[in-house]
Amino acid sequence: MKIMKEAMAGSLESSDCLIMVKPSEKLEIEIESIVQKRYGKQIRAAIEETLDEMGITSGYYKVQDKGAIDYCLRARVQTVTRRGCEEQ
Amino acid sequence: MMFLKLMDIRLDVKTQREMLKGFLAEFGLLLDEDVEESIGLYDGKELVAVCCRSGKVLKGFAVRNSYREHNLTSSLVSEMIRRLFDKRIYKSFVFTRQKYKEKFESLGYRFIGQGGSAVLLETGLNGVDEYIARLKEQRSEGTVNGSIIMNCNPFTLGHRYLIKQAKSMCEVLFIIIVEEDSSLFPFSVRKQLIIEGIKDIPDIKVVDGGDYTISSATFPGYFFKKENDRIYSEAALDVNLFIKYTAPALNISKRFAGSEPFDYVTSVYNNVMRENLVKSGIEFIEIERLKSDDRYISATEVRKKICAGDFNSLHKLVPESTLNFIMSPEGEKISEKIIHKYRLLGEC
Repeated sequence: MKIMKEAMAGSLESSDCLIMVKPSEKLEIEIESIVQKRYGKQIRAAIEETLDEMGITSGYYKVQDKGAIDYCLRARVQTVTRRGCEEQ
Repeated sequence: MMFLKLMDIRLDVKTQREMLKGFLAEFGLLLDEDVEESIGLYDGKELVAVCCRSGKVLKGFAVRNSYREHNLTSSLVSEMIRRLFDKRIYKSFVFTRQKYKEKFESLGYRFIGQGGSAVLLETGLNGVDEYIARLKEQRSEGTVNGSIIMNCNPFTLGHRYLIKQAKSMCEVLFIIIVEEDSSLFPFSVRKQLIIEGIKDIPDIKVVDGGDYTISSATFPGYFFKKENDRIYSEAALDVNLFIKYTAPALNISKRFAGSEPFDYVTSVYNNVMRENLVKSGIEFIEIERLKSDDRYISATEVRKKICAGDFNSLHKLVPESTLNFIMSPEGEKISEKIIHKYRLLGEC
């Protein structure tokens, strides 16, 4: 699968995250989190792992995390990726 | 846990529009005439929070005091971002007062500039960094670079004269075209007519203005001309963005503008440029407009002639390329639009 178009998933509500994607030649993940200091590394690892499982190697991901738990984050990553991979 | 319902406030329904106006007035806010869409959060039947949208700009945020701790702004912003994505608009701006800057920064918005007490923030994909990167592709090193920002609705001999005058005072001239499509001649046509009208003049680069030079985000008052005190802060915001992003990206040291004898908004804009550019080390040069038969040539004049069906004297105001376009089938369609609009305004 490959990100073919712009897409978004999630929200800016507390305990959620909002993720936007757009096509890009390489894989770029930009993360902004209210718990960056404490969980920044884990958040990145969870996103990279999810993308790896889905076979995504390119695309620009912009993640705005409002304290989402691991499962929520992974679900949002999956959803936005599927939306971004759909036919135009 | 509170259960609030999110609903559209229908601006075309008079009672709802009045209710929204009343709600905003409680917070000292006005409902701008360019607002296209408005959403509200209701607690039962009571409206407790609203957000308005004009193009990709979110404004008119208000949350009732007793609901402030519930962070309703994030629900409103999330919904608007979602709606914009559905319209294939992947970024949004917030135009707000200085004191709310941090609130929106906490929602992922990035501060990009200010003017007076107004601040502009943005979020989403393709922000100001992409704009700068795109400009830098056209950058010219080791030359004296000037710039002139133009709408050209449509391109006239007056524009050509300004460009030639400006070009005589610098080595490379950037013509930055207002990209916002709220003029009668669409952006693609305005751009094409500029390119054709100046093709014999060397060392001119034509640049798209994007969202950051006289757009509905930076300078809404330019498109909805009104004499009010907001014009000043909007003009200052626009000029500040030019100083902060456009000028350094293109290596610009001079900015030119035509003198403005008629239009209030443009004359305020010229004054703001004169005050602010010099402070930032950019020279500001106002050039007196070209006259034809003792009258200043302006695009407004051209549109008025089209409206009056006076095509015979148009060649005194526009170059051949513009005239050919106006007489083409595509140009005729635009002429019809002009006539329609001016009749509605009672100016034709």
